Amino acid sequence: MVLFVLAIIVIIIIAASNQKKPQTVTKTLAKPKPTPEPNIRVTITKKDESIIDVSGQSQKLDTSSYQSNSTNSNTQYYQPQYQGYNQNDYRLGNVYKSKLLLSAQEVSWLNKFWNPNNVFLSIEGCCIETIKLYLATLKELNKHLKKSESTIAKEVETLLSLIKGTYTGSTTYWSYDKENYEAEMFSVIFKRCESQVREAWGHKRKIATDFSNSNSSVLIAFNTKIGNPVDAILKEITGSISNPDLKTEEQLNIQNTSRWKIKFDQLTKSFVDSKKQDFIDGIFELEKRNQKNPNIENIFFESSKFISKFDKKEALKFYIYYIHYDLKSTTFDNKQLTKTIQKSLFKNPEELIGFEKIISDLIKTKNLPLALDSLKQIYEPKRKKINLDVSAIKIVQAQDKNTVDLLSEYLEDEPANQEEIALRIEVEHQPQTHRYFKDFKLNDNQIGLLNLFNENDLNLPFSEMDTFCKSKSIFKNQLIESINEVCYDKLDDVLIEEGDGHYEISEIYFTKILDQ
Amino acid sequence: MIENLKPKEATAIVNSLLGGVVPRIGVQHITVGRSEEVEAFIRALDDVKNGHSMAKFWIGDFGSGKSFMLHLLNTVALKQKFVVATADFTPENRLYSNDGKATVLYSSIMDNIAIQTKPEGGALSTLLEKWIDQIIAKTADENHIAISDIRNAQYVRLIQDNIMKTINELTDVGGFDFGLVVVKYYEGYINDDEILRRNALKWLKGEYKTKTEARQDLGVREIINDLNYYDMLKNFCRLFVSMGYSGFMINLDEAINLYKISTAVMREKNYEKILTIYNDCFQGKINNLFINFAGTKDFLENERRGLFSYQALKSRLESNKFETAEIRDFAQPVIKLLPLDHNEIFVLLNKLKFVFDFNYKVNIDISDNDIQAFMEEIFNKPGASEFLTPREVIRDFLNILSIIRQNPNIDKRSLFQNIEIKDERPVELALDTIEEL
Repeated sequence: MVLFVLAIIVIIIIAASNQKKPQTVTKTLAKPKPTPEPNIRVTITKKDESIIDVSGQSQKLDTSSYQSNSTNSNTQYYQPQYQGYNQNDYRLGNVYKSKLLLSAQEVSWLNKFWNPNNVFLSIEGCCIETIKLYLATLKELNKHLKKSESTIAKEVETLLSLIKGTYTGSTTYWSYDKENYEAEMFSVIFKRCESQVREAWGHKRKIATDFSNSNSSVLIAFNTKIGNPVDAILKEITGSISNPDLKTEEQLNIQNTSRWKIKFDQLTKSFVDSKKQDFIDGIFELEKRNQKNPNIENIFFESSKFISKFDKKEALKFYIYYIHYDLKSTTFDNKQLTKTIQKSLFKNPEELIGFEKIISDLIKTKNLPLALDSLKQIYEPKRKKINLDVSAIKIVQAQDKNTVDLLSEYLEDEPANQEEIALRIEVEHQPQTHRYFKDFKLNDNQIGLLNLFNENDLNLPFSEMDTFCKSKSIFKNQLIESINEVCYDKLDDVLIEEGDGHYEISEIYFTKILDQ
Repeated sequence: MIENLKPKEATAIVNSLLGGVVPRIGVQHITVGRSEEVEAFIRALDDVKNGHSMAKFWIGDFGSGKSFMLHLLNTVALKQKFVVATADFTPENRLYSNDGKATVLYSSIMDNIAIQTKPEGGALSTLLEKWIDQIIAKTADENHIAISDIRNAQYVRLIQDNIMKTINELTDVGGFDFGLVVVKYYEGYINDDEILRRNALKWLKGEYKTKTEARQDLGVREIINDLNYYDMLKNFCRLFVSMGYSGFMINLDEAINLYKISTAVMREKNYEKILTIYNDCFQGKINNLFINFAGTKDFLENERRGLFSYQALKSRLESNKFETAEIRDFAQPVIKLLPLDHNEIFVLLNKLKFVFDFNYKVNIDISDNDIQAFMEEIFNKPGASEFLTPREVIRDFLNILSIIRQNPNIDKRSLFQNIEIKDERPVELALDTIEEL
């Protein structure tokens, strides 16, 4: 009899282990190899309904010896007892209970589902922030439910009952599926919190946060009782999400290589010319947080483009940083600023050439401090040294002397040509004797006009000039021109000049034309 | 030490350059660095005196000395018994048009006609009277009439016929009306009809807008208009030469205004006119005419809007392909004015210092090193590379000399440091933004 009972027990244990073991193994494989805490006991804390009583007797199995001393009835799992290994250790509550000084309730909430595993939560900072938000949300949810004299546990229980009512599977598996449904409910809350943290921290990739159940009444009930209140709570408490620390940001920026653009856009939108230092500081803060980002050089390239409108020197500085990080990247793109930006940055070709030299030196030496130092002088007005060449000056002087001689020769008064002389000889018919320079060979009309000037204190009104010319039947302009022409050689200037309503002769010039 | 510098020239140089303009006399003393250009135009001037005709294009950037060279040409030509006329191209005048803008250019040329004894322009009436006087003398000579009697009333007809005859001999196109107007001028003179004389001058200057008006005032059928003004200029050229002048020089500055004509067809027609003038000059169709155009590099070389956009001109005006900055060819129709280098500016400032000392009979304490320091200071001022011109360098230098003359103990270096340069370029739209119609 005893042997028979023992045989039945062995069969039952084998059957049970065949059902549970594969899942356990699968989940275990998904986890990294842990270092189990000592003194952890794996226990069966609940009556296993998968055990089939084949004894035919009413005597029930005594499972009291497997009773857990744990207070959390929800974390009852069948666990094979491997030496030093407990997969429950990797549930979030157990992992973080010491680190985050979690209460038993908090540990329990976190242990409700398997440790979710994704790239975002693999960053510890992200995981902790999500946990904090999850716990805060559940506390708020509890407060919210308390108003209707309920609790999360009660609501979950109600939902499980509802699900059970629609459950189509074998009752044999209900116990197992019930745990899964419960885990799913808490997991959805956790995912919604994670989603909020992702959004707040600029992690682009989204995750599914819907509760999955084919039955619409279950879905409605879940959303009414849990889903919608959680969303409302999250909306209110999202602001409490703190900023990621440096280490977390570095990790986030590795995963999202263009995550810097969010902060960059904020910086450009809030840019004020008078506070451009804020922008500059912001860019260098971004640099710090993107040290491990393979696209870090683009931060500086875009910054250079943006600031070029406001601060030429900073634009060049950012471009130097761009080249510096581009050189460190896997491929050296060496992107050039557009021609328009180049035109705005460099007033003259010298400045452009100077900057190109700094860049080519940077590429050669990879010496960032040296390049930044060289940049200081780029817009400094370069003092041109005037170098004079004594031999060239002598040549210029010699050429100039020849030119002056040549021009002086051409600027000398030419002797009147033969035709004019012949003409004038006829005009100068029997000239009067006069007191003017004899070489002038003045005719009677010219002498008459000069005498008239002399009689009128070298100042002759237009009317008197007209009267004189009419009396002689000669052209006024021609008479004046002829006298001026004759005297030009001696005076090197015009003798009779037109004034306001009169003609005049300078006294000095008049003295000069007298025959002395 | 400058040889042959006259006190009057020194005064003119100092006063004019302080005012930022080219002096009327003594200009030969400030042509430093332009020896080859001067030799080139002297040769050209001699050729024109000998009966050839010439068209030259003076090309250079802002401040390169185009206007200075034209002024120098003007001065030398006047001394060489040329009749000289200058005009600037503006948006309101041009070489070819059908709305009177070419006639405006002609009027501007005729208004500015200058001779040695009337260098400031307005010499048309003087020239006309001189020519008539010569005709009177010639008529007296031909008809054996005493010079004292030829002006009597009975010989008026004789003189009028001679005017018409001579004009007909001299002129090609429009000679009859031209002669008629000169006869009217003479009539106005002998009848003491000032209005008739003025109307005749008005006609000759191209200021009549309608034929009706001209017929009423003078009894002539034609007027000077956009189509015939160039023939009239050629007629005047022959007339001036017949009077004993060496030739007729026309200097046209600011040719960039032709480049700026927004209609491609109109621009091309203007360039076609330049080609006509060019061909007339170099193919011997006209004698003793010297036309100078001054403009920027864009005006000449821009392939889309400049002279080079007109293929026939491009082939004529392209630089000698063997010419370089060092090896120049000044015999070409195009003379490119390169900026003065530092050595040339140093020599120029040195000369100006001497001219200044000579003018004020002082010896200003400015050494060669001081001049070099001044140059270093002014060429390092902001904007110097873009818009500093010799005009401004000279003016500032003379201003400093003037201050030192009156304040001998002043610190020269601080004066140099206080120099400020201004952008004196004409305010106009960038050339590449001109709208094409």
